[in-house]
Amino acid sequence: MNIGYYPGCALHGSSNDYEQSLRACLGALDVQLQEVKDWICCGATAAHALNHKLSLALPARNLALAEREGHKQLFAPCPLCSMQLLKVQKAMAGNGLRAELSQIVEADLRGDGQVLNLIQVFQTVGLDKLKTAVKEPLKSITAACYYGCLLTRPPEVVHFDDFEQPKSMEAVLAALGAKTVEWSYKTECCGAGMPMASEDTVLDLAHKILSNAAAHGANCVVVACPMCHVNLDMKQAAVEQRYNKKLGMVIYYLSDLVGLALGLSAEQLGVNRHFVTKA
Amino acid sequence: MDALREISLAEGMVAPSQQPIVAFQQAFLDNIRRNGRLAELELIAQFKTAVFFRTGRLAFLFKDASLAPQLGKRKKLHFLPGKVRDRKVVERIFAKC
Repeated sequence: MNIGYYPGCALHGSSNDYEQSLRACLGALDVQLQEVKDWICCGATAAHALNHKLSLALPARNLALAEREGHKQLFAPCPLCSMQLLKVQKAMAGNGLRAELSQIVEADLRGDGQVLNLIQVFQTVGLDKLKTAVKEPLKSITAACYYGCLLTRPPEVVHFDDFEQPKSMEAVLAALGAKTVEWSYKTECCGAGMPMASEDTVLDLAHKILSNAAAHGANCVVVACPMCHVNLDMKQAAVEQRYNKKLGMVIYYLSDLVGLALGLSAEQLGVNRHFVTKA
Repeated sequence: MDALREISLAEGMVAPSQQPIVAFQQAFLDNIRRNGRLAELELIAQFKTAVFFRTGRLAFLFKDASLAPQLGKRKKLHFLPGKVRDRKVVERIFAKC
């Protein structure tokens, strides 16, 4: 299966372990990623907080590039990038923005492609197929599936899963033979891109998320977002220091666990490059 | 919500406690206007310098510096990040918005 691929800045930056993980994992499932040529930043939180038109134009350029290359499906592994692309498609539908955005981004936009997040890629592969491909069932994993803000919200934009009680990630983990827990923070915010600009906010939110996962019996947290991973993994030592509490919670990308179940090694997936690793 | 943020910024009504967040977001957009994609180390330098000049907090410049070697060990630091080939189109998009 070939799909268009929009990595976004984080996966070519300090979250390159996520890209390593999903390339290894999807390669094992015979999913070939075709990276959109000369893609640009989607503008992230900065654009939608400071300049609404820019927050539409930047992802619109990427949609247009993907359409020009003929991609019917575009995989964006960062939920913020994914939501931004979907937001443009919604804005273009019916209110005349298509012509204006095409003029701004200097490329014709159709807005008819399908934007996929990581969970949807696994759904497209097929959970039955995934189940039969499992070589190492994840019997020791009891995971708290963490969706964060943007995998399921805003619901009128992303139209994915139940936006308050999502279950799609749990279904993937069930196919891998892993257990999951019911917990209270699966769609709470982790502080997103604010670890430097508002560290107190991030540490407070990460502390609540990690503590709640542990209190409900999870031995790891699973994410499908680079920023969620940064805040829960890289910042975990700062959380432990601030709250004088040992957490030691391993944070996996969803593709890490799929890859491990498929028989790939931690090194192949980049799990050894996380900050919190299994002892 | 985003509209209120834009209005408060335009009218100079951003609360002092939120100034670092605005500085970060402005540095972020400046960065992608120049490069097309985010150059993380350049963003950190620009953001920390902006906060230092706004607040005079010298310690802020060096906060989190201890993370650098840990990121380097994990091959997560990129001194020469990839740039967009057609950066002029990025500049024109910014100019039209």
